[in-house]
Amino acid sequence: MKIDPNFLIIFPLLFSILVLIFRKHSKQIGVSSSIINLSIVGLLYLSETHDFYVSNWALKGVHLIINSNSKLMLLMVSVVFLSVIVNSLKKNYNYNFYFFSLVFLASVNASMISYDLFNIYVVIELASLSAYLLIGYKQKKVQLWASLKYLVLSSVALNFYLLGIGILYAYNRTFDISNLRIVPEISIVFILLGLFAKSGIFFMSMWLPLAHSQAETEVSALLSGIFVKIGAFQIIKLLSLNSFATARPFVSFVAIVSSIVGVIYAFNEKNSKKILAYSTLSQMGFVLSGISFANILHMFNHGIFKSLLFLTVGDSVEDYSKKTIQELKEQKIPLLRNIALKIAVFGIIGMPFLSGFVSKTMIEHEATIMAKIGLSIAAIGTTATFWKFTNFRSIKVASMKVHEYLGYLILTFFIISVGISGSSKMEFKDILKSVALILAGIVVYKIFRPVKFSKSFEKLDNALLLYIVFCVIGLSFFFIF
Amino acid sequence: MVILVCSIIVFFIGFLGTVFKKSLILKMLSLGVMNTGVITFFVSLSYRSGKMAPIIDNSSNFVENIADPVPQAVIITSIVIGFAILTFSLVYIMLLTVKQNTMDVKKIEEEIDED
Repeated sequence: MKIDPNFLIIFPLLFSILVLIFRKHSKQIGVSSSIINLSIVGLLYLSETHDFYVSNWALKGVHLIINSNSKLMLLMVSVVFLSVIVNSLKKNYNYNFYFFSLVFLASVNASMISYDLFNIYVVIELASLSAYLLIGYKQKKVQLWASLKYLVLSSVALNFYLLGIGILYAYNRTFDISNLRIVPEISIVFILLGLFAKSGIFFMSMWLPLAHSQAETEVSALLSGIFVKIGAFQIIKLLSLNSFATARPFVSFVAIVSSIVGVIYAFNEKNSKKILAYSTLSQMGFVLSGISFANILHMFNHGIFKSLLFLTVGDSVEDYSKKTIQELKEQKIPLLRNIALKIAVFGIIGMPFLSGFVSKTMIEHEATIMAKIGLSIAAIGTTATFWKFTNFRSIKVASMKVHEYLGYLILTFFIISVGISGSSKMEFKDILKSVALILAGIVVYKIFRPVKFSKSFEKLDNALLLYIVFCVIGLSFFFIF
Repeated sequence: MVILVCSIIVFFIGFLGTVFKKSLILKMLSLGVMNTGVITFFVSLSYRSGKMAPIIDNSSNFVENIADPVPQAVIITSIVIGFAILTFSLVYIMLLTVKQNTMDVKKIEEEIDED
């Protein structure tokens, strides 16, 4: 069956308008639109590669490509979105939430398939605008501040991106990614600055810890599962070109630094949602350490298990209104939620036969020696961080409602199925290695106690100063090598 | 060429404003200046190839002397987005200052306890 890829953008926008018209039925419209989105993605997944221009007048319009990478990303987006919407049904969100999240879905879908630099800017800004509104959904003081801080940091970075693509246009006379020939170094630095700020790299996206930990549960899952992947996917898209090949070692260096520093901050954090936020910074370092299929697969897996972690932990935080991990441990959480949480934790630390193991092993197979050492340290740190989440006690709920756990179930299915299907290609050596890393992580967890680190560069002014530092480091890197 | 250099200077003046100004409103206005710098940059890019408007008529030399239509066409979107960001942020700043009674970034960051 042939399906038009434009449906990916048209249907969510159409349903978002329907939400505004039929405000009382916004939950039903939200669920049905996410199911329709999933089925469109499923049909596209089975069909062949699409490569076309949106309009064909004298000038060619926006270039869209749906290849195997973007199919995987679209699948991740639709699955995470469906489970987030299903999970939101048990709470009383109003129509605003569904409207903004559907606009968000449409722009994310567009950004995954777009191959036009300016179009990518527009859809990223549209997704960001709906993200600002979603972060400040309850209009608490701290949420408003998180949203504003993110707005300033992200708009400054995207203006740099715009300047970078302007320079690229001056040389190439096109915004089409597949037609770029001459790429000056300064434009690479500006474009990377803009995209790093979006993609959750430590020192570059310091908006992330506050925004992810203070937003509502479903919003944090959307941000961490889907939103940070937009920037990262554009970076991988650009670096796959030969003209951007000079930037590859630089990006993987920045990414590995991020994966180590992020996990150090995550280990020393007490607030449970902030632990997850810092861990996102670290895992995005894993994602951007290379440009192969393994990195795309890790992006897929990270989207799934991180949103499951945010949903389960966030629901527990909401139920007991306790924020630190120590206070949460004293409570008992429902059995099924505890099982889902444990599977997500085992997924992220790379337990054999779960999804994190597959992609982490594949990344390590293709990394250089230095990158391997850095990523192993980050993997040990991840285990040490997340081992705290494994000893929650559970309670049996007398009257179990299936729909409360359906969101978790969808995500859990993908963690297990990707893990089992991918593990068949792995050797026994890899399994031993990942078990050794996990054991080392448990030893680190037992020995070290969290200490307090300075967080001064999370302040708005310092985070903006880091942009200047990045420009200087990036330019000097290109001059030296 | 002069406009090209000037637009980049304006861009960086706006950027330094966002870094060093203490008031949130002034930060947002510097962001507007930064955005204006980028817009001028794009417009001057299209001005390089010629000065005529890119409209087809029967005169002989329209191919050589027209301005490039693409950058000025796409940058309109950026103007609209900059406008949207500015107005949206002003609304949020208003909501925040009603609760916080200050616009100084450092004071806001000290007073808001994260946990």
